[in-house]
Amino acid sequence: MALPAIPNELLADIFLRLSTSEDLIRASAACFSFRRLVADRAFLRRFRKLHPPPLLGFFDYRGFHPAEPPHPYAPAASAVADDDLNFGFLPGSSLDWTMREVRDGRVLLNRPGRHEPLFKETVVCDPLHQQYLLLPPIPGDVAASVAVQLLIERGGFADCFLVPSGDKEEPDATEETSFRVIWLVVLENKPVALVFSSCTGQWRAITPLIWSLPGLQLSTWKFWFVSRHYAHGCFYWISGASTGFQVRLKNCSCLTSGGWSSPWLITHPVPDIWAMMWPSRRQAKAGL
Amino acid sequence: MATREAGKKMIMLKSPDGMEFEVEEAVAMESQTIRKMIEDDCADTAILIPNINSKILSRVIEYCNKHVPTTGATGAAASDTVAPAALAEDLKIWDAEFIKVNRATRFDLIQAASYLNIKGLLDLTSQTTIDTISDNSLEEIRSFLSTKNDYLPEEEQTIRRENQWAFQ
Repeated sequence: MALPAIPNELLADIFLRLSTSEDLIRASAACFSFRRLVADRAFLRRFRKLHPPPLLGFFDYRGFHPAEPPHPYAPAASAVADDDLNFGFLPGSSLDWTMREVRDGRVLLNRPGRHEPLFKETVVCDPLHQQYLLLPPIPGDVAASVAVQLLIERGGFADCFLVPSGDKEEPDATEETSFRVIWLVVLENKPVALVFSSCTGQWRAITPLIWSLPGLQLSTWKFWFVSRHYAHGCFYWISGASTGFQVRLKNCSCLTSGGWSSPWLITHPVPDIWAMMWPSRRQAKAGL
Repeated sequence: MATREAGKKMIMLKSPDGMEFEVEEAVAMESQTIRKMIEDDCADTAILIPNINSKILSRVIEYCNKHVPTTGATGAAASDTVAPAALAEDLKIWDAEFIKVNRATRFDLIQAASYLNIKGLLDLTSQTTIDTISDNSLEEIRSFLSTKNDYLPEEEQTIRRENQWAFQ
């Protein structure tokens, strides 16, 4: 017997009650209209609000450290750890890749560029589901001008990092299925910043870039000890105890910056430990 | 047509196929939609419930009768002798039996629960849908939600490949 379709609003309410993301994906695979409903940004936001991803553990340079009892997700975390969470699925030798950051279940790694030694190859991956996206090279014109400047100044400060999702200042950032990466080079006379979006698959300049760094002398920076921090929509870079600068993110369409020279935040770099949070099929196996 | 019987206010519910059901006001007010109509004084005469046939409406009333908070004389007697936990357990078993209906009826119950805004019934009927999605193949999900696979074969393959972990 042919039945009328369930109205979308009611269907959305039912889908919101699904306990795991995999059930949601299976439902969305049933037909195109379900997929459209599930892929809707507002729906995903509601779903994620009701089903926050579990904390599975932490990554540091030695590898993955699963959450331990009595943490409620310890069983799921240990199941993940048993599966030997590594980066063997990345192209080339996994030894080439250096982990730079973990955020929202994604890991950013880079390795020396094969064609352009000044710029590293960057990959963003999801180690739980063994998927990765190799970011395209920095556009040629930007790369060329930065390369020239780096040669003139004999160095500069560069950083490449994932944009945190859920930033209230960024309405787009709550998008669950996409991510953005910022590439930043600070030179004595000119900063350059690009943002990569997984939606467009392209780098784009962050303009306008209003910039002033009173008192910042890059030459005094100990690059190995630079640590990046993020709070209230601002990124902060601190080098040792002497200098730092901040970059403020707004809608990711522009970056404005202000600098400071007094040692007022952190005197030692914090340990490089990042949280790994992602919903997992293994949750179900672990009875969560 | 609101009348009084044994001190209880009664409400008349009418289905579009012409059947009339006389129910206690408290039972009818399990539905937030009907409650609003009563509170807004729109319910002097019989309330017509559009889109819900007599077969489904009678099942809905059966559900509300069972779930209305027992405050009357019989209810007081019941709660004197039976512990609340046992009552809740009893209701759970009753619910499980209640929802053992064919696909078409369950489908109608979901829509009725949504239109009449009966939270308990919506929870119960939604849960069966959720269980179907969690435990069954894509074909069964489609059949249960009465939808057709309108993906191109390669599109479905892509979804499966990209989300392999969800189909294990």
